[in-house]
Amino acid sequence: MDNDVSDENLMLSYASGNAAAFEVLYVRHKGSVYRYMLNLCRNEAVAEELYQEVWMKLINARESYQVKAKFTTYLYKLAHNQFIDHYRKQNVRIVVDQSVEVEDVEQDHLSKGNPEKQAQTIQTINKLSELIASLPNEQREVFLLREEAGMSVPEIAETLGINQEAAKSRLRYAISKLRAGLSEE
Amino acid sequence: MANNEQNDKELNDYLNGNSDVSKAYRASNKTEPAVHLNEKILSAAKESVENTAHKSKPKFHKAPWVKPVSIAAMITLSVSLVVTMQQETGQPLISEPEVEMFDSASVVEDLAMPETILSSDDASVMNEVELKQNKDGRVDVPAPAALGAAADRYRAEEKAEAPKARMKEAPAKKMLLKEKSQRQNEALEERVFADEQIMESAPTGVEFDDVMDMEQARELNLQKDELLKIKALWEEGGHEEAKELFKQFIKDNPDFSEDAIKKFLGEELFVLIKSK
Repeated sequence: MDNDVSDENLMLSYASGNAAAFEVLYVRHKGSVYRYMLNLCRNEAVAEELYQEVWMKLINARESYQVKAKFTTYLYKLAHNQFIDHYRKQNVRIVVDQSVEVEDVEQDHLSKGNPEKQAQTIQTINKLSELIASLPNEQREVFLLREEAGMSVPEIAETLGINQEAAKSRLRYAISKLRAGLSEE
Repeated sequence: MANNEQNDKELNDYLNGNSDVSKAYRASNKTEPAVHLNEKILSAAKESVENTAHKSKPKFHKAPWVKPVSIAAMITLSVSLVVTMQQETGQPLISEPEVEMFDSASVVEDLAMPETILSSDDASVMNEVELKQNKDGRVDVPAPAALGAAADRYRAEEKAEAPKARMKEAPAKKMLLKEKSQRQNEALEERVFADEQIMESAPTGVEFDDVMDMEQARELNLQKDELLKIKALWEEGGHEEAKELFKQFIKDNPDFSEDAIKKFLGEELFVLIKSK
């Protein structure tokens, strides 16, 4: 399948019965959606469950899919709603699993460079993970949509169903906290 | 104010991809979903496509044209069956109300007809009315009130049993019954017409044979009186006049036998009148 084909066309192709189109689409977005959900939930088991449900919803909705917005907006809206629904049903506060980010560090990347720099990078990554986890849910989600889905502020606003100013404000606070946290070393 | 400006600058740098935060995050977060999750989701996607392909195959009984075509075929078959039966029997189809009217009316007609042309179906009515036959085969028609009561009873029974009978009757049997009823009706009409002609010529309340007997007896009496008158005239001496009357009598009644004349005139007088 051609990699230049847009997400929207791939989804339309899958909607018409082309299972290979879905596979291309899945490979493109599986990592970012998973990380979005993992960083949002801060719990691997819950993140896997919600991640699977997001894709199942997309599969079940394929026949009714229409191109009304970018596919990523559609996909992350599903993910956002899934996350919100889950925690509304559970009626629990989000528990932060601090072990996740340490395990998720890519060792290959860290192995490059000298040991001092490796240690500093690991320290930075762990710090960043803690800072992300400490962000309010609204700010964390805006940050993850920007980082994982590569969304612009208007797209983030559309995905979350908020106005652009609110999206921009949340993102501004998130970046400011993260920068401040990282510079506190 | 200065703080806000600082935040906006940080945000713009971040959005332009010049933020340390963004670089650090991209460098660290390379986590991917587990393989079993990938397999499960991809197999579900393929299964969904296959199931839809099976569902989208046109099923005969779910096609939208099946119902109208079935109804049309049923109507066509029914009409062709009726037309075929009509052509085979050669009889025009009789509608249901016409049949009922005929059946009700025929009861009264059956009662008025001689027993020989009535079918076995009408025997019960005949028994109830208790038709009386004379020795010479004549039938005394019962009073109209008796006829009406019997007919009403017959109609009531017919109405009570009609639905059951209709349910049991097959269409072919129904046609045969209609045909039979029509033939019976025609026979009854012919018989009624013939009897009406006879009854018009006969005196009211007297049978035809009796009328004929009386007529003959009356004529015989006249002939007897004529011969007795001739005999009296002969005995009084009016021989010539008696002979003229006798000649006239023979002329008027050529079939009157000599024996009968001898009986009334006497053999001696008969010979005298005839000889002279």
